[in-house]
Amino acid sequence: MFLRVAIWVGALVLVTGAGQAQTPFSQTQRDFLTRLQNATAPARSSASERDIAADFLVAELERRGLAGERRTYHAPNVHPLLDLIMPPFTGVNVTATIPATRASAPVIVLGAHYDSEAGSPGADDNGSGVAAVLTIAENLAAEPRRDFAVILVLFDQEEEGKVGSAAYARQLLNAGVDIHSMHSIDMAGWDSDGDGAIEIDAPDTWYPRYDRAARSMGIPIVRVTYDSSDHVSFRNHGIDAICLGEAFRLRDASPHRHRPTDTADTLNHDYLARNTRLMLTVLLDLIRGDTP
Amino acid sequence: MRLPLKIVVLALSLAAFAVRGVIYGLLGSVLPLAFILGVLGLMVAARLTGRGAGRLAVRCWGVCLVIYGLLRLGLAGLLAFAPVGSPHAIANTGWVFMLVSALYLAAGAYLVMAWRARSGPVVV
Repeated sequence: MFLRVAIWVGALVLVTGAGQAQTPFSQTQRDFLTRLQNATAPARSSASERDIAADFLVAELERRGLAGERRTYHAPNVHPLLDLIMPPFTGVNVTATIPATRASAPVIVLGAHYDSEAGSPGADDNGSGVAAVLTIAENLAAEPRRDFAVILVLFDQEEEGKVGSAAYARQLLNAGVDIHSMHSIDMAGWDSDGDGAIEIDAPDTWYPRYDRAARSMGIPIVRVTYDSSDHVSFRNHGIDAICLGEAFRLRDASPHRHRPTDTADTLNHDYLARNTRLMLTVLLDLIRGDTP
Repeated sequence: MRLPLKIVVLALSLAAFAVRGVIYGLLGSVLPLAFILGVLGLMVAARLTGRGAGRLAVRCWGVCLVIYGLLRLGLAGLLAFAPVGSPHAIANTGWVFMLVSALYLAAGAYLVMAWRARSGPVVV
């Protein structure tokens, strides 16, 4: 009898423990995405919708003990000829800084865009990235040793052509900030075939770190190159920039992208949590000084 | 001293582009500033050349404004009928944009007419 009870208790502990080890962030991220969706319905596209979203994100940062800031910017149009006709872009990036624990440390930029296409709640594109970077920032802020300062930035107007990230990269460089690297997540919550595969655009110096971490976590990783996300705004200035996302090239990307059906209910939250944990692992190693 | 209306309209039309040039120049985009500096340079050069070249330059500017106004109205019309995914474009091509476009169009047409060559004295 005792043996049978012991086996049942052991099995229960194993199952619960294994579940927690696999997806430690999935429930909090699901809750966040539901709150984001409710607060910004029907989308985060028009100026007024994005303004509401920016306020919501500042409040979310403060919930996590981070001082959120709205950074308004004005930027030229995507094509210079349009500057003769159209007014400049105006938007708001939301930022928070996690200071280093040593003096004059370089900065790691951690980013994701928060705007969505018109009519789309944008849970995967890119609420998933926002949820991931908020979780990562919260965990980095809890580290006792930080060899790097971390700037968390939630970019506006990515869907217009990476406008917010381009403006923010310029602002940082004009201010003379020493940027070590930029890490972003764009669409990381869809995995219909359950293989857990991710794609990453990373320079030669960075890919091995992510590859190593992914292998240790059993995550299949595919290296790709693309110009369609915010990391490009930093790469264009010669900064090492990394973007992580779901498996577009392997044809396992969300069919709900840019549609009204891109809701929190359609996401694979365990997959998003694992992707979050991958980037967190790499960045924790870095700020603890565990890797060069 | 009261300035003639045709001078006021010319100055306002140039000033509108100059302001746009400065705003975009501060944002790191030089095309609008280069454009208005080029227009001003051509006008000054034409004025110095004499023999009605200055008047012709202003009329050419008027034609440019007419084309500019039509382009803006065409763009607004296109965006109204063919939906695009740019909230920036949609938000900035509303009725104010169309009104300003119509003003450019009217100013250009007025400049073309107001700066016609004066007929010379009739010698009997």
